[in-house]
Amino acid sequence: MAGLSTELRETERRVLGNLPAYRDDAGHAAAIADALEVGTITSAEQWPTGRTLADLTMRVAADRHSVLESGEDARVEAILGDLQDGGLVERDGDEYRMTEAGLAALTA
Amino acid sequence: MGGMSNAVELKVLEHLVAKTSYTMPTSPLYLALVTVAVAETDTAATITEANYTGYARKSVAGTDWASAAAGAIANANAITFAACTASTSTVIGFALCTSSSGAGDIIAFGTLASMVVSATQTPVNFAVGALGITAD
Repeated sequence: MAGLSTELRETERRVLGNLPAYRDDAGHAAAIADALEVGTITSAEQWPTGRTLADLTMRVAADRHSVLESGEDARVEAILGDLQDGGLVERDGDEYRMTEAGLAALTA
Repeated sequence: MGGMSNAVELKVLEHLVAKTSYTMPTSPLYLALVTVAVAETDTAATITEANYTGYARKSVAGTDWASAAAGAIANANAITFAACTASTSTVIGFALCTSSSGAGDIIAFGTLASMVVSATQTPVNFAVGALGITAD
């Protein structure tokens, strides 16, 4: 998907933007340490690194500024496929994760 | 998605059942603009904030809010961020934090209509009543 990294469409931005932000190993460890200290998680395993399709669809649907609605798993999956093709998302088992390029696209 | 961070939810719940008092946050709180949606597991240090030149969390005092009514509370005074002087950010959400930068609690978070912030636009502004937090 040429140009995706700099020209995210709104639906792509909403799907990508509802994945946990990419972090390198050091950033990941720092985030977990902070979340444990503040108390938003009680164990390191609770820190999200990705989301399942069902969880992501629920989150995007709950975003009242998104055009996607609950039950649109297939549409979200198709958008994730496009984002994967563009290198902005990667799949790890059942979970979709934001890549470094994905974060760069959202913060550019 | 929107709401409170997990940590704040637990503090409020324990306060409501008279188990542990939740100390009111010190005014002002600080409103952050984010380019990645905030999650309930986030803290004020883990959110992905706008990074345009001139960006900083905007202080919001307790007196900047109207009285809560009908399950919601909204800003009684306009909230205007510092102007963007260079680069751009596409903002998709907000977080109301207890700190002006870095670590702290997220009192509330939510999404916004996507907004490209650049030097050619007027500063980000929430008009009176535009920033609402619900408790339904």
